[in-house]
Amino acid sequence: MSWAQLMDSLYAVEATLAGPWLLAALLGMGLAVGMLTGLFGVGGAFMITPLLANLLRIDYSLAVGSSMSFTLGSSSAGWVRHMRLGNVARKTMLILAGSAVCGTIIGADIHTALRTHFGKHDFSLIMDVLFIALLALVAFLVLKGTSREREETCLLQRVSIPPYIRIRVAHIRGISLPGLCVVGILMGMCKGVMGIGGGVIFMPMLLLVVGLSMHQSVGTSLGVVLCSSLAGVVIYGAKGDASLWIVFPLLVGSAAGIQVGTFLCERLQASRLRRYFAFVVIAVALYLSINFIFKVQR
Amino acid sequence: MHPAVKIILLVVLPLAWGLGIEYAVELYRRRRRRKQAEQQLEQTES
Repeated sequence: MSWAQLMDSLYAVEATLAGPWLLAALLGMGLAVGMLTGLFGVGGAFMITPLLANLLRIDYSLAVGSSMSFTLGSSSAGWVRHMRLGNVARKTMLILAGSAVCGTIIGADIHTALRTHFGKHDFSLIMDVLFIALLALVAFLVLKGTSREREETCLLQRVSIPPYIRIRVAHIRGISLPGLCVVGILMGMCKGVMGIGGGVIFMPMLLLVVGLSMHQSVGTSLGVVLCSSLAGVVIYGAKGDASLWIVFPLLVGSAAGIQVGTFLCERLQASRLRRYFAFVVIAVALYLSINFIFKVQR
Repeated sequence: MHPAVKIILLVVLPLAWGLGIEYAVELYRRRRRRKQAEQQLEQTES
């Protein structure tokens, strides 16, 4: 493909910027999100989707589909690394991945139904509200520090709906299989509707609801994210709601950003890192809230 | 572009990028470790 054809495809993406400017903005966004990944270990889709839709005014469905494809690239490397280190509870991952794929299909249908029912403008307002609520919740949980207050028996271990399965790597004797499937479906639905998962929803769910250790939660959630993102990309891609011209600059930028973030991470204190992360999340939530008010007034 | 080809590219290219970066980083780490081990061996021998 020639340079002119590449630029033409970039001009085809409906956004506030076009051509090389859009390319530069996406590279910059990827760099910023990659830095977050390197610094705090989060995937960044929960930032990319609302920022693509609000900062660059890219259609929400296109932003969700593209962020899912971006997640495939960013989470695959981490998953392979965690597999090598033995941090993946394989049986749990397979059960959750299967149910998360079903959840993603349901979520994508809900996304389409909401969009057709409310129209493009009102739908973007609904998505903004969902993202603002989610970011506020993330900031609250990070500042509160949920991992320290982990109970001995987690929520799903107290659910008494048979059949039960054993998770040997996490030393969990009996956990409800239907309960695990429901958790997977709910996680997948979030992925299908908003295109997010990973560090924001999947990992805390595995840690607090299922009862896996921190490292196992990270490794297993990456596998579940990979499978649900794959399903999401196929669904959104079939509707034309995913663009490689958005995905690739983000991936290139994030690869560089991860190196910068990791470099900075080694020079900052852990307690400070947590506070900085909460501030970044609050800043994005505030930006979305102000943007939301302007959108409503329009 | 045919929609099926587009979906395949949307899946395969990000995966290849992610795994390629991981492979390159791992290769770099192994080489660095091997070099350090060789240097240590030389120092102990001398």
